[in-house]
Amino acid sequence: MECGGHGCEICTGSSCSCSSTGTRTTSSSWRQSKVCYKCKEAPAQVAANQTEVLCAGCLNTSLFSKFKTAVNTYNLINPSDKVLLAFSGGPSSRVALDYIFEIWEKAKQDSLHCSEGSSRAFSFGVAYVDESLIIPVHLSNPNKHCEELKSIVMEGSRRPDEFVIISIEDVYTDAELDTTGECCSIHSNKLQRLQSLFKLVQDPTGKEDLLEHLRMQALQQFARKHGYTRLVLGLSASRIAVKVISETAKGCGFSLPAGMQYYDGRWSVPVVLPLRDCIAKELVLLCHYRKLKWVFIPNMSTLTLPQKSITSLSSSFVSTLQEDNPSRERTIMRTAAKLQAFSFNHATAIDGHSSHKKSASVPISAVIDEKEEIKDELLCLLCCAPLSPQESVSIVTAFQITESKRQQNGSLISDTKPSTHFLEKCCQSCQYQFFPVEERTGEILSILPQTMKNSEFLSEKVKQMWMRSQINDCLLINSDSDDETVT
Amino acid sequence: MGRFCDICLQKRAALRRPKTLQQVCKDCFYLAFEEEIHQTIVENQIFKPGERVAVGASGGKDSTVLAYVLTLLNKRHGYGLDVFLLSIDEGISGYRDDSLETVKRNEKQYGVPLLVVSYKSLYGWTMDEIVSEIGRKNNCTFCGVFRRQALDRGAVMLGANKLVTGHNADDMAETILLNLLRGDIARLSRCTSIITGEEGALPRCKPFKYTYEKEIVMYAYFKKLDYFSTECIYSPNAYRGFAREFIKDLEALRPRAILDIIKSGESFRISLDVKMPEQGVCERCGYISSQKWCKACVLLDGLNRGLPRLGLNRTRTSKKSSSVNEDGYCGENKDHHVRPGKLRGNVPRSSLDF
Repeated sequence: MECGGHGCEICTGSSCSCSSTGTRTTSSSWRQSKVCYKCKEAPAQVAANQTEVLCAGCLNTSLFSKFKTAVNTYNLINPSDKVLLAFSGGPSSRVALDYIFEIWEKAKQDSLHCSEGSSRAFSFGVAYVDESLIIPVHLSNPNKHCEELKSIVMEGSRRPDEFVIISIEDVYTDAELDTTGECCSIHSNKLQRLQSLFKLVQDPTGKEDLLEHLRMQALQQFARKHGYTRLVLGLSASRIAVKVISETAKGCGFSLPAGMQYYDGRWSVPVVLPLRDCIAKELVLLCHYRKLKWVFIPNMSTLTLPQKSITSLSSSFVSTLQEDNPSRERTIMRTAAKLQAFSFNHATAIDGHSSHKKSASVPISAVIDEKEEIKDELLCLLCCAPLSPQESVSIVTAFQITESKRQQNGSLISDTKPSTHFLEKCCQSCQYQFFPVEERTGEILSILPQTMKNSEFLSEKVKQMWMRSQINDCLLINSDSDDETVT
Repeated sequence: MGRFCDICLQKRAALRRPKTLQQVCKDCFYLAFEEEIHQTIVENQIFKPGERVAVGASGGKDSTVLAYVLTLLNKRHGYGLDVFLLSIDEGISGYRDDSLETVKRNEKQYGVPLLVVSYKSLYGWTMDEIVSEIGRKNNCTFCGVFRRQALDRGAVMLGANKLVTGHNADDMAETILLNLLRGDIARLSRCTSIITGEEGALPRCKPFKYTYEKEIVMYAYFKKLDYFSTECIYSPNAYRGFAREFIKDLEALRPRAILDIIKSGESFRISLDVKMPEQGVCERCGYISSQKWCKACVLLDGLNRGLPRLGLNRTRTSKKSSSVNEDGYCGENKDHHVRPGKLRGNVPRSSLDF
């Protein structure tokens, strides 16, 4: 999920003032009494890791070190990769932009030195998702914001291979629309559909979640179309802490670990989070000290009042805790990191096609861990969250019933509504937030983007699971492993 | 109101259920409330016929309603249980003696025997004496640790097979959040169990796991049950913790969020790489502990040696798990030991690990 938009929330008006005030106060008091914890020379300017007071240079070293460690340890970016950074203008993605530039330039230098060899530097592009058409007109100034973003990204000699602005309404592909006419009518049609969709979803939390899902779909579509192999989000530990609390409150405890690992291979273009261990406040301070320019762009999350949605409630809750105890955000993130990750959260040893499989079967692991059962995860059609065992069982059971009816009645068409089939394949949180009323389900379904409605792949998985359950008592563990290996 | 009950469609609706937002009459509310608890008990197989069950009774609303409903369901559905009330006297002047009077009245009203166990008789100290030793800041730690063990000891005196506490859904959700906030992965993995310590000699059960606190208050109000609601005098602000406020805000926004948090807590799967504390017994008193001495013995030793802060402060070398007493006492009194003080930097370590 894109973080920057939410990260901005930490820096909204009063928070920014608090940061500035805090900075001034801490600077003056520490400058008198302490020197940097690491280099022992420069005056201390910021408290990092709760107890260490650092100067600006060492703060940057510390954060960049975390970034590089994440990238190298988990193979988040490889020489053959084409990397797309989701940039929102906020401080977190701004730091991510700066750090990717640094490792990119180093990679290019390295590849120059080994020009005879096969190694080369990765490619690098930046994308911003423009959601201005969903929020009230008087609060957004899209043209101005795009100009500001462009000046930040394409600054001087340091620029990525590509910078693109994606409109959120482009989550609808042109092929989806019935209109056969001029471009402007297609565009307005997309816009109307999107606005209708957001009107139909009543729940404020559901609106925010829907926007987040659409944003990811838009980024994935663009990345897939242009051959990108990695999507980088500037999600910080602070943002993840808020997600942990809000997902818990929505009953998504099972799928919670999926979206907060360094690597997330559920998507056709894997999502990586190299800034996962960095606190948002430190990133803001880093931008301040290094004069990294960033832009606050209002979006749906920043415009939601704290009492209106679970996400904003969680955000203000975590902010309150953070004031009380500075290490709270990191503690929450670290606790959630101890929950079991999913199979798609491990980057595959074999790069290329296997890393694009949603099921993320790992032949090498299958041979090594014979006793460990490798499961293909069923994913919610809307939010791509892994379905819990109970939800998976109910889907397989529903499929079994459908299959029985089909066998009894020959080729007779099932009388079940297509919306029911769709609902079965969504997680409970999405069912509650997006489809609380039965009558409106069909209406919402007709407006959803096609990519979110494609259930053929999932149906195939359900069928395989059902067939396996029928022969499960005859299977031996080795046979199972062999099957996986062959796959 | 002018509406009729959503369930029976006959009587006038008297309330709106916080859990479901249905408008129901009193009788239907009683039946729905009791039936849900019965379903929880049956589905989770909390009790077996012939068992002796000790109800942790503080005089507060949760334990009062629990004692009443358990006695009622025991008769109505023939659980075949021997039910007792078990109260802990912490020795807090002007507070505990009044709440114990409430429990004694409950004993007569419900016809259930009562046993009162005091800190003084078990540990040689009252809370008044402990507070005079260490002040008000950390006394909740002593009280929570001592009470938890006192409940076990009292239940053993009664020869009980099960110990029942009145922790409700709000308490469960709060415990899950607090364990997330404080990084206690060991407790996070088991704080949602409706029965804890099942392998041990004295399992603890929480029949109110899915029951909302507001509904418990409503039930007590409409049934005119006699309960005590004053807060502990040594932790006057304990009730208003950050997590509690957050949960109330969530409930106002989306009532089912409380059950959703519990569902999340049940769904969490701890990574196999994470080391979990090993269970053992205390060398000194024989109760369960993951350390050489249990927390109660450590604290008691400190008190007796005139070093009351022994066992309170964290040390860098210590790797003991933190203490959130999610299995402790029910009612208002549990507020002592899971409140903002616990969220502050000065969080005491504990070897209690049930």
